[in-house]
Amino acid sequence: MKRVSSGQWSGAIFHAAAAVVVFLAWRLLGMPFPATLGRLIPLELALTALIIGRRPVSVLSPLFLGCFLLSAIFWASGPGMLLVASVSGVLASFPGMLTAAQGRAGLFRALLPIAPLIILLTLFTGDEPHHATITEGFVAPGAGLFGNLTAQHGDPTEGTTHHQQLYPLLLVPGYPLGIPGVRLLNLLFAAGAAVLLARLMAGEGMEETFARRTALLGMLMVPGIGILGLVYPGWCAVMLLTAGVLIGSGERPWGKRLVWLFLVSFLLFMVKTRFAGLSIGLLAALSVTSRGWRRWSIPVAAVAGILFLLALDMTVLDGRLFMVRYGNALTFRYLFANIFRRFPSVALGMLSSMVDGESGLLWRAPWLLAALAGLPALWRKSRTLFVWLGLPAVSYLAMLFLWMPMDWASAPTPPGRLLLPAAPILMASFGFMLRERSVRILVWISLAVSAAYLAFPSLRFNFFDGTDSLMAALWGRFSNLVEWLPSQVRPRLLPYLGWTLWAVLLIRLCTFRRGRLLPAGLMATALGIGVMAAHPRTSWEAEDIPPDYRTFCVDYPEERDPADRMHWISTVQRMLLMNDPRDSVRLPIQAAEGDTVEVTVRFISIPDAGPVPGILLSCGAEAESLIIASVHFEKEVLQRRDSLITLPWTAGYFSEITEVFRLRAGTPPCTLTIMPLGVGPIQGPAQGIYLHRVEVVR
Amino acid sequence: VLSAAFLLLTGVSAWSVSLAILLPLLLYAGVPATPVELTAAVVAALAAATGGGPTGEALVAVSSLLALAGSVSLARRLLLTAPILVLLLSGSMHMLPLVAAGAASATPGRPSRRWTMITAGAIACLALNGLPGVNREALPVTARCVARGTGAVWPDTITLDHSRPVLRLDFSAVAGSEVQMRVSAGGVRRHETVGLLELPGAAAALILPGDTILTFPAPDGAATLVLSMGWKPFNHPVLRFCGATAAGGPP
Repeated sequence: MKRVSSGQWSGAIFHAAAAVVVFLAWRLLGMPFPATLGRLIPLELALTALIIGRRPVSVLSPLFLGCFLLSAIFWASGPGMLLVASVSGVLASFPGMLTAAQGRAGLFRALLPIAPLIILLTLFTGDEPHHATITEGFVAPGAGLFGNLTAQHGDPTEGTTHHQQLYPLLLVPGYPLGIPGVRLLNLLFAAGAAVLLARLMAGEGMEETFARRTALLGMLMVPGIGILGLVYPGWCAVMLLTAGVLIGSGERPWGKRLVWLFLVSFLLFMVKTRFAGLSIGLLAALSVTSRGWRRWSIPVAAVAGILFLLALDMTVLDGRLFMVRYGNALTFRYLFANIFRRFPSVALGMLSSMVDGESGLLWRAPWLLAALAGLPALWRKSRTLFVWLGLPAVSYLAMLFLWMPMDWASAPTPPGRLLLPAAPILMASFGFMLRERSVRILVWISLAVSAAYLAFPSLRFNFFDGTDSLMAALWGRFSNLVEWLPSQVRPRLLPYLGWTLWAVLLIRLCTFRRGRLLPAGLMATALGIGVMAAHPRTSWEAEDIPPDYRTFCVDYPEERDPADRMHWISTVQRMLLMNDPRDSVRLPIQAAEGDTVEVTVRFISIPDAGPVPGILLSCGAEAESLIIASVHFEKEVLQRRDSLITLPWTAGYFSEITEVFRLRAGTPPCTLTIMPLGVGPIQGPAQGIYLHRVEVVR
Repeated sequence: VLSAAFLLLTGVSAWSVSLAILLPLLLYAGVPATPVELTAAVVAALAAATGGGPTGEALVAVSSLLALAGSVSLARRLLLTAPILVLLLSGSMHMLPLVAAGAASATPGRPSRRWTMITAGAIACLALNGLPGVNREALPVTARCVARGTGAVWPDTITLDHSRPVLRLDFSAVAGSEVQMRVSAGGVRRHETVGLLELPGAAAALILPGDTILTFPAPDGAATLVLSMGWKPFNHPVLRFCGATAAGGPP
């Protein structure tokens, strides 16, 4: 990095001064959250001053400070400006952290400035309290330090957790300090993983400074930052994986490597069942890189080992390891159905993990464009890294998407959490691309997203409803942009195809003419997004209709947790329930008097102890109505499965109706009104119109 | 060509015109030369991506000022005041001192002097006009309302600050019924009025720091909850709407 001053202590002096400037500016400008962000961002800068020591200041740090001051002046201009100012403030210490990440303990030291932001600001939610409660069970059962949570979605029975026990056991040393304690241990796991990854890359010929910087960036960018320091086993798995790769690809005798790899593979499985994918990949890498009888002995030994473990589990451990949770016919039926019947969903999940607007990685981690572009270079420069990090990534991802084709994003936990264990190979390929100047733009855009996640942790929690929290903070929840982004919850071919081809083009631009055209490609992306966002909406996902355009109506289901919708048959997205006679939607449309307006409405209509509901549309001059009931899926399922299944009498289990209405527009300004019919005070709880989507064509 | 296409596709507004001037200035020689220009280009790209609105306009101003401070060419610096001038003329932001300081800062050769002049302009702007961009006439946030029996509830908690100072509550569907509303105010150093509840007609209720429960008959129309306290250094006024209920029908 370029230095603004080569003077000793200039880094420390600058960051200390910057802390004071940010602290005072926050108060002088009356910015919100003075007690949290107004203190934690200056603290981050002060801690950077502490860790940077005698090293000089980078040219980027004053630049980000200037950017903070300029955007802070405008913080009241729009809802997104506070976010921009906070991101600039957090980013101001990142160059210092990258400078400080040298030396033996550099990677541990570099995390110090952001530790308070992670530990104190991020909500203790998702799986975190569950892991911590299991930890508590080892030390002081029932003490209630973490809320004494018991049952969780995914548990096979009440009181039987679906989590493995080893990871919570590893957190025991942090227990006396409570939430900060268990989070601190996870920061250490991440730093440990980064140290091992840096050693691995340095061992393959990468310059040590670059290797450390790459490893630190791997922690600071999505998907790493999403759970950095949080009580999730992702970084622990990366640490074990890199340790396994270091051992497996090392110079030790083959027998010793095999024994150690079996141990690491077992530990990975014991940390979390899904990490068995990494175990398989590690053993496969050893098998591929071995010769003669050794190559074939590994799969045989692995199968024997698995059978031995299963036998041990059934006879001695009462199935606690595997059989109680997954050793049943339903599990295997589910897996086979995903492979043979639902493969399009599995493939869509794999594509969505990259381009989905809500959970896809490329939107929040554009550094992956360069990492994907760098894979051929990694194959040429270090076949060892390619094989040893690539095979575990492939087998892990195959297992993840076959096992969780719809909930690979694990919403509402941070995006990319489940994809992190597959990221080390991309970090390694990225390391070889980092020298290119144009690629650094991608780094700083990715770091800006990470800074947003650090300053406003709520932005990393999405609900699998088609709307990304970070995008909503910048564009608003009701922007037209939502219509143009790929979404696995609301799959449409054109956005998927368009953005996938565009991503491929950007990946190509990373290497074409040494990336000289990449900035132009990124600017074109921004302008394209701007054009999409600037246009008023003509199509509405019903739950996205803003309150200004509704009278009453309820978002259905009211809870945003995707677990409530995961098993729905007709659609898994939220809808707008109209079950009160006073409910209505009024959408403004551009039409002259007498114009014919074509409106396509998709909805579900459920009669429940009341008359068949209907829908009424009016555009000023005339009104049209349709009274119709959706078909309950139970009969269809019974015919297919030949077994008794009772499906709930709720919207997700009814067929969707699509109807096109042609209406004549009245006097401008024209408003399209949609109202329910056949709903009233005497009816069952499910009775009503569940509005899904409204498309207006003039 | 890029600017013309952008204007054509997005329509003419202060945001699009100022961006159409700014982008060619930043990208005239391909990849921007200095880190400051590169950062200004990234901020401009973000401004373009917002699709307009007050955040987009503020980002154009930030990008222009950054480029103004960091650009090496005098001619370019002088031209870079134009996007901010467009925003000023459109009336979307009151920041004449900042524009004047920006224009004046175009002449010195040293970046440190340019930064100093822009900072002085920003301080003058704050002293004379307060925070730029605070617009009480801006589109208000509307609270979501759900029917409950014969009444209604407004279930969401919504926080108002200077970036989002007005909340609109439509009572027309429950006119005449009794409304109970919980509001919380804070972030100020003295016990003074933070917000106002403005009902149709001339009625208004003052909201002081702390928790307040307001009970009133629902008007036939929309009421607004406004963060009325202006910008003051070392005060961070916040008004939190904590939900409301309109029980039963009209008496």
